[in-house]
Amino acid sequence: MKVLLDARLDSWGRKAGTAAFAAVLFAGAAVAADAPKIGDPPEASNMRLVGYNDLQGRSAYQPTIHRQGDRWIAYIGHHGGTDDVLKPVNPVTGQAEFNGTSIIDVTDAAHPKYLRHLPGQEGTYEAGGGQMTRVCDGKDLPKGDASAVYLLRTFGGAAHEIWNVADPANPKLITRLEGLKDTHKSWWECKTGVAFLVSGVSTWRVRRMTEVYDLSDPAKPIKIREFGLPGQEPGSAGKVPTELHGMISTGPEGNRVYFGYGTNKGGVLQIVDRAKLINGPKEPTPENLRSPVIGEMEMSPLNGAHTTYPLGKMTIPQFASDKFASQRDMVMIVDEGLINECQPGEARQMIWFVDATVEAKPMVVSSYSVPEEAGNFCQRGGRFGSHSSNESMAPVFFRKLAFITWFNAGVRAIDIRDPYHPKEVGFFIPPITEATDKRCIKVDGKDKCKVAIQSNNVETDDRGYIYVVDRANTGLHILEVTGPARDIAGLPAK
Amino acid sequence: MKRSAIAAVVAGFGAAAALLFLVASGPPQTGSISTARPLWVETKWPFPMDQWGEGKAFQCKAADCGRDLRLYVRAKIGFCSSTIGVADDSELERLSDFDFMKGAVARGGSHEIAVAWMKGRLRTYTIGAGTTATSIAYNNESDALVATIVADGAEPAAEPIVIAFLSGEPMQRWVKKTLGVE
Repeated sequence: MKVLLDARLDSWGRKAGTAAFAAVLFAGAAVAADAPKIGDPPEASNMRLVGYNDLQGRSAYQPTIHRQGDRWIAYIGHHGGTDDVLKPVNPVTGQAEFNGTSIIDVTDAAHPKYLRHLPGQEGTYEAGGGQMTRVCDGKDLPKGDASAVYLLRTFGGAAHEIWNVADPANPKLITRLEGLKDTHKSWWECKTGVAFLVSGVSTWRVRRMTEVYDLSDPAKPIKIREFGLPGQEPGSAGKVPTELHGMISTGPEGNRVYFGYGTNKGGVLQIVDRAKLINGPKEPTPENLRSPVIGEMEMSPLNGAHTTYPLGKMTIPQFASDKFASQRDMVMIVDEGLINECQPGEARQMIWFVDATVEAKPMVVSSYSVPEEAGNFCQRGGRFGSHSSNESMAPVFFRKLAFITWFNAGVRAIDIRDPYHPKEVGFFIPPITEATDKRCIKVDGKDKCKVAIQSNNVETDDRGYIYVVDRANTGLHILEVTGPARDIAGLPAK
Repeated sequence: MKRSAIAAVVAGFGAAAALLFLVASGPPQTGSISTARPLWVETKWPFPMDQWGEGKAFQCKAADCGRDLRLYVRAKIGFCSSTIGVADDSELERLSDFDFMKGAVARGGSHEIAVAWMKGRLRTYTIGAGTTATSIAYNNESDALVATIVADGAEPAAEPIVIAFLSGEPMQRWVKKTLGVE
């Protein structure tokens, strides 16, 4: 409860720190923790709301923030609609549209401007929409149109699409890769054009595996190969290894791709030699799937690997005087919680820090989890657990602060300067609105529903803004860090 | 209440629950598999803890089922697509408990089945010499139920016997409680 109390004090002003007022806040926080209400203030510590957009009440997944000339544009992927509202109305066009991609000018972070909604695939929740977004400038891609800006997005589970968004209010479709069983959290290297696409090729034994593409010329995609864990490939038999969730490449310089398999169970971190993956034998045989793999770490079966975020070499403060191995190669793994209200079927999902200095033998050395008792999060409604981290490697936050979405516990700012001892230094839990969707569990065979924030994905930009989007239709919150968290980032005081 | 008294009550409930599963399920079977009413006796879950936790384990003796059968069933919460269900062989294999039937080799494709109100698929496997296994996966919305039946001999367990047991009232009571639908 102390954290909540701090949050209220931070949100409403620390000057009001009298014992009597604190007692009132304490009681108020306890009520709010169990049942968020429309009109409640946000709960926050060392993070502050800068701007907001309701995203037309659409369930949101991946935000990608891209600088286009003097403008900053947010491309936000959406899950499909809900059972209640399959096609929300786009107020700009007056039309009901399947959820797809919201394009928003966030140059003035305090006053984001909604530019365009690009409809996605028909379907509800993960079955529709266009969850994923990545953006590259044409001038960076080896064979791109220098005047173009390319948005790579998923079209539901059926396809990947590339749009020219040089004019973000008027995107033009360039390419579509279709005929897939599923899609998800892809990665696109802007300097090479190599894309690692989470796809579901029908002959594979999992919904999600990797298609590696050369998208250096977005108009002429070239497939390089298919990839996955041995046992997932066509023609294999027996146990099917955990399916892919996503990956992050360090490009030709780092020559590594970090794959994460699993969401909330059976997680696997896989460290792959990028050059061997791209240039090695391509037939998906077990031998060829093993050949580029440098290291693999099976997590506890109770946890998954939603995001595998490479932090690279870091000097560990407590090892700084060591003459050997004072620097460690670190990876942060973020699990995804799937189950509402801590119900049966899932263990607590959190973040893990892996020392991969010896790449063949990576090992978890620390973890971080939001204290449940700090907000009665298991009772608030919806999911409680980690989901996703920012993936920008811009210097402002890289290796200093990581931002992790935690569903009904909002977004958490973690000080990762010592990844052997990560600690929380801030958080922001947006308030619910009229648009926030309910989340239900079954009690005695009947739906028991609560309305709670479900902070889903987060990204940062080079300016130091944090963009948090909500799975339960609450919209986009643009935040900044304050106080000690701001000092850690080295941002100027406000 | 003293701890010993609580333990006695708990033990009593446990025994009663076990008895509930000692059931005669479905009509008498005819043919070469069994002419007896199959009796399934709950046994201890024999597998180590994994990501899905423990389920229910049962045994049916040869005298009752025509050969010794071992059945393992458990829920995989949130592991199934509520829109497509257990749509094909790939999805069945993704859901199946291969750890319970190591070295299993499929004997052909799967086919559709129904367990109570739930739909799913069934596929048979050979495990080495002289043992067969059947994997059944079915779903309620995004929650899957996975049953694995291991049988001595070259013939798989009789599908009607197993489906009748899984669809029977005692098992459904457990399923509904586990999935929170009751």
